[in-house]
Amino acid sequence: MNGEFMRRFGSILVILICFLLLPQQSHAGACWQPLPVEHIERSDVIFFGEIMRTRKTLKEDVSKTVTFRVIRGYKGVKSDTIEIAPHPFGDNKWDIPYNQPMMVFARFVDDATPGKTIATTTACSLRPYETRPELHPKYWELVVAMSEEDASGAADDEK
Amino acid sequence: MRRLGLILGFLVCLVLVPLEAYATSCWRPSPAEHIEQSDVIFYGEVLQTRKQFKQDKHIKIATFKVIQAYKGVRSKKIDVGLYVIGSGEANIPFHKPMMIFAHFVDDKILGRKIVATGTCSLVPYEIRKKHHPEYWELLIAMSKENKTVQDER
Repeated sequence: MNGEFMRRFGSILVILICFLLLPQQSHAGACWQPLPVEHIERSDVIFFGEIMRTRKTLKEDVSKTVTFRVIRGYKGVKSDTIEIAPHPFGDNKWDIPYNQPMMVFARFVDDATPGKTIATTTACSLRPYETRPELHPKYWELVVAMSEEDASGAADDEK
Repeated sequence: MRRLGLILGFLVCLVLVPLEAYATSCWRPSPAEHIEQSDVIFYGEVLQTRKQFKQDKHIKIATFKVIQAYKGVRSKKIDVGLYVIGSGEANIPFHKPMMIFAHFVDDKILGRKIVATGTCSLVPYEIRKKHHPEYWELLIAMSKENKTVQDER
């Protein structure tokens, strides 16, 4: 009786452990792997920049709002610095070192203040570029072409 | 004790200075200058390395898979001598795509012309990430020009 109970209890325990572990496993592989063109298209903000400062948000200790110095803006950036907030529901374990310029992909979301939008990003927005260096030439080709188009568009507007 | 401290400090300086000089001895060209002065530029990754011997001397040759060619490359694979051009043999990791800047060199060991690179050919790009946008813009513009010339021919 006791042995059977232990065996059943063991099986249930194994199933429970599997259930607990599964979400973590799928979470690690849950980031999308878009084509560079798709990644660029679905990002509202793209720039190459480096961290100037970070400040912790009030809600969570791990969430940090990061101010970047923009080295080169490609999409949705109009100033030399930009503040990127952690996405409210995203994986916010960013691994962004200081003084290490990087390509940043972000999206605009509505802020708590009505009528105001903020740029936010998640680890999953940054990883498709960071983890696939073999695609970097394609990414650069696309963002450079995009900024050239913008520049020629602005020149046409001036005329 | 003070004298011993001074001697020790002097010795530490002697050990540290060459390392510092090694790190700063490479040139710091502008991206345009770096590109102009390189004969071969491509983005690629090392597939294999081997030592090529001639008599008792050898050089290390790396076979690269070319992901994107920008200058002086016409095939999908290229052999590059990891050579002492600047301050030592280039340390290039396997299967990690990177931008390679190389030169055509008359190799004294093999007695023929080879494509070769060294630490000082790679460092100006590798350690100056802030310049990467400018590098990519120039390289992309250059490959577009080359394509246009080829199309016209």
